[in-house]
Amino acid sequence: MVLLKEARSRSDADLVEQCQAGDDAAFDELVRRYKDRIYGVVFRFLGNRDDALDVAQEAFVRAYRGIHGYAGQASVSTWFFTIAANLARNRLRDQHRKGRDKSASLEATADGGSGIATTRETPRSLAQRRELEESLDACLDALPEAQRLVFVLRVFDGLRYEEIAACAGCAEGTVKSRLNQARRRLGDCLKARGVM
Amino acid sequence: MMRSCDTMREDFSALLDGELTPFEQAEIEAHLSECSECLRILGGMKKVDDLYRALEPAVAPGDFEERLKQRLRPKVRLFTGRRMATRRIWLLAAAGLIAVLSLFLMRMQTPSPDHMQLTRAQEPPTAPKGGLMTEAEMARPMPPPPAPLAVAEPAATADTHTEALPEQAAAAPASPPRADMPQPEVHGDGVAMQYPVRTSALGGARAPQKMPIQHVGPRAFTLVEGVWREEGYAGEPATPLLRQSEEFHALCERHPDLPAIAALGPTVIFRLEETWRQIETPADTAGH
Ligand SMILES: [Zn+2]
Repeated sequence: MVLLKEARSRSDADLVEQCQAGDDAAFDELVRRYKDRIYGVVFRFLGNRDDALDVAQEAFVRAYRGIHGYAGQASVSTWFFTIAANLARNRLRDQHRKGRDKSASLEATADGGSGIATTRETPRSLAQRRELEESLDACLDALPEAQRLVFVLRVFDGLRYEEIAACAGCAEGTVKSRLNQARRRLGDCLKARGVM
Repeated sequence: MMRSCDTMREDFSALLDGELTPFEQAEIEAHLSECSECLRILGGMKKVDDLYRALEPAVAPGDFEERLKQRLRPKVRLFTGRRMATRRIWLLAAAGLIAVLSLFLMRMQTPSPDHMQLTRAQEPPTAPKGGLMTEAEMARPMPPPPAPLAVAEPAATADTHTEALPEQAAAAPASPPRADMPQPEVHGDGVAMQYPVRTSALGGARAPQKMPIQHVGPRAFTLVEGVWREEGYAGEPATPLLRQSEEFHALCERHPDLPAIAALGPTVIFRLEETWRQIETPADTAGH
């Protein structure tokens, strides 16, 4: 308990350093600090809980494995988000390449169904969400990937443009214009659905 | 010089996000006080933010940390004293399982050339001094599986994995790596493709008593009467899935975990969402 409290008072950078020195508990504390944020943006970006869980976990696995390569150039949070963003984008592309629904997984084939069969598996529809939420989800899904990434990082996690630029691998000016486009596009989409 | 409405609007997001300089902000606010159309557009963008921010926050599942720990540091430690921080930990665990089994069998004075070969072939890369396995360590190619055993595992293992693992693609940064920041590593290794598992040759029925639990990703499997059952299985009907069948290959394409699940043993029952499937070895190769 004492150790836990102690860990919580340490800075991210301290924890990384301790992890580099072989202290696994330090990494566990980093996971505790960031799991919800990482999972949250990945989920909003991918729109699928299973994939979000897998990608978020994989991001931490990569971070853990690459912890010795981290030398404090970027903040720890930016580092985590960068790894997660790359994995999430690749997951999305992988899904697109396979020409499958976002919720693509085994069941569609197992059931002998076409793409339509996966509809029932989409977490977004599974829980019979309210119409508003469905519209929000649908409009977010319809955004181009690059715009969606900056939007979720900004709106769901509140990252600064500088941090988003680092995660997305683009210039801050690009972040600004993508966010502008994303918001206007989302506005149009939500208006068309009668939400706004 | 006054900026046009269009150029003003380019900065609306930055205004909402507090990313403008005080001067820029003042300039836009002055414009908004006399341009109702820009004000309307800005209001729409603000409304978008408000709607999305009102969504219930998505938080990680309660067992996130537990699952992650299992992925990072599995409880089933076959090579004690080494920390093997890798997403492929279960691969090595599978190799270790076979090695232990082989030793066990040898001690029982039932030596088999196959088993001995297997033990050597599936020795995992040695962890470096620092504890963490480096990419170079991971990339060190494992010896190819011994020929006599190859028949027991379909070509699916090699063929499908190359394409089927999204992590391979995920490892490559989508954008040019920034010099100032660590990026996810690029794996050209393909070592993960070489599943050191030939369990269909060694058999679930002969699996060691001490290790009734195996993990594949987040899934846990228990060995019950020679059948590896995924956690939660309670005797429901399970639809057969034959190794080497077209369906099996197709599923491997789509689901990177499947080869590892299939490699647990000759018979594996696992869940595909609401469906239970039973992986079986076709009769003509089962005995090899
Ligand atoms: Zn105007």
